[in-house]
Amino acid sequence: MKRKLWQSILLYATVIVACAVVLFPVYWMVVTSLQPPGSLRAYPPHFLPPDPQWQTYIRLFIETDILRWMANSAIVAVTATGISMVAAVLAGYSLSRYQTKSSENVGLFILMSKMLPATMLIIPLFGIMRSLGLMGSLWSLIFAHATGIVPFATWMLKGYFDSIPNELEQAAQVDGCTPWGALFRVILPVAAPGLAATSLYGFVLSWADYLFARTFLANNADSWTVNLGIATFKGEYQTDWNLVMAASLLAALPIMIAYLFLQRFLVGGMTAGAGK
Amino acid sequence: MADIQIQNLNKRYGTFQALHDMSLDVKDGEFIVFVGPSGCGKSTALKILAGLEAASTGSIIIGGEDVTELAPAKRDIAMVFQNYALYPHLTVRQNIGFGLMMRGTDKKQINQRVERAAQALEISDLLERRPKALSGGQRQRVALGRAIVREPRVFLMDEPLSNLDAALRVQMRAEITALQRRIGVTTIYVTHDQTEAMTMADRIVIMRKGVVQQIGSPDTLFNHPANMFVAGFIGSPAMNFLSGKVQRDDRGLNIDAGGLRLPVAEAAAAYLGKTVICGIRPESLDLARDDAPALEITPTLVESLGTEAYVHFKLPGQQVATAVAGEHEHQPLGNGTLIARLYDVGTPLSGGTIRLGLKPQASVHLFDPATEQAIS
Repeated sequence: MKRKLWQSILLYATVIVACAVVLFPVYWMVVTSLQPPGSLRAYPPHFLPPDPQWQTYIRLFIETDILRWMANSAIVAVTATGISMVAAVLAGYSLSRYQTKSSENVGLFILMSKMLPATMLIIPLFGIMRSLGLMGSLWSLIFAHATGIVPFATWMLKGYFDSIPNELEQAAQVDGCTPWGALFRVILPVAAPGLAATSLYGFVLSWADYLFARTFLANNADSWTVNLGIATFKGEYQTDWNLVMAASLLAALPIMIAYLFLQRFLVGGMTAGAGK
Repeated sequence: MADIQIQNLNKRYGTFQALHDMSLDVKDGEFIVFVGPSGCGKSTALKILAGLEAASTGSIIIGGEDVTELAPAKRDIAMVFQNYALYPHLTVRQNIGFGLMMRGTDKKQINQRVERAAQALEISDLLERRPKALSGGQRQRVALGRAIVREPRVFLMDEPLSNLDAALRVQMRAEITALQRRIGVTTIYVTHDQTEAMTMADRIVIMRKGVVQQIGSPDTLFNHPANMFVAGFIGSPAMNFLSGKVQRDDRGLNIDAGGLRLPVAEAAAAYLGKTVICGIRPESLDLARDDAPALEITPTLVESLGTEAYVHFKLPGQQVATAVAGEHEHQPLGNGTLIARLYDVGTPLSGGTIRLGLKPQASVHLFDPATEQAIS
């Protein structure tokens, strides 16, 4: 169907406004990171820094432990997501395929645990981590993040598995697969978009965490994650906002890369052609 | 290739009995069709045969081997699903070769066999495509290719044509039948379409509410239905049912059904003076000769199909019932519509009154009104 001119104008105008709303904060972070601290409150504001301060980024790498913090964040996010995905795939698949009288209640119970606010979970988790001797260790954060990721990931994946026809694994079983084989050879590849979206959700949730990191890792500077590290840039009387913004941009980079990498899976449509 | 024995198969889901004591012997190379309305247990029976559902009781023997407890992979069967169940992440070549790969067949041999199957099904040029780039008919062929490439002992097909349009269904029906005859693999085919069952099967197993109603050749089921359900399900348009009292006059045993005198066999003598259900196929009725005894009817609807016409009419004051093929149950006895299938009618029929009579040699099927079983 051919679009009319006014429809095209409206469409593009909406897209431009939406992009502006989403991208302006990122753009302003870039601008702030390249300006000297004194120019931040200049009026009128500089939308393009007259003298870009690239040395802010050099300072970031030389004067701070940003790379170690990012490595810690990466270890935590990747491990927590990995552990969560293993649990969520098996739980989501079971809830989707093996219906029992209690499966609906179990499903709701899992979802309900996601409804509990993180601030409520943090006290019992603090007690558990301390008694396990994990305070200050990255494992405390990995387990804490997994408790948050697993319930929602299970529900996301259950919904995705529900959309895959049962006949696919039945066909795989007739073709010679065991039930496990059917899951790994057929269902998981078909569920790739769902797995990608769920992994990304888990990764972002873990990468963006500050609360748990502040609670479990504050006393061990070697284990700080990037968000915890960036928070230390804020001084009592003065804050290097350009440094904070430069670090924040760097911290956002892995998420952007992950999105770009997983984008083709997120588009979906993998099950097209399975059935009629 | 193998013969199959299904012995006293039962399937219960909680308190619901989906399959009642099903028993069947299938000969090697035979084409068996399970037919019946939705929920009759035909797909459940097929899934139990495939090993995708466990039987509550009973046993399945394929080629002399008891496979009741075996996993689907170990039964050496191939199955074509209603929605094809093609693996969307694999190409057509990989889809067809998947079963061979799972059985550890040599890669070179897989390629040869996949190409041979593709050639037989005329899909050689589609081998590198993914299922989403195929039409319904092409997907159906790929699903068949996946089944035949393994050269299994048994083919199981679960309503494989139901997603195709009418023209393609007729074409694929013929192709599947020809393919089965050519390779001679024992086949069990499930459908709710009696036309498919009649045109494809060596023998038909007709089911209702989990119970086998009759097993026989298409001709047997059409000409000698065991009960009213079979009589109403097989044949299109469905058989007309009229109720009438068995009487004897100077011309012998007969039934007066709605003004139509129906001569009946001596077997009905046991019902003398009692009411029975008479089954008359629409094609057994014809325009009556001027001097012949006939029913005077006013058509309520005439459907002209060119060479033939379906004349719908009602018999006032006569309790009749119609069993419509494909429906779950018979309609209760009442003032239902009857259908006559008339050939070479010539002049348009709608509007006026016409005279209908029974064709010479036409059979009248009699059923016990209480048990619905055929009187023979």
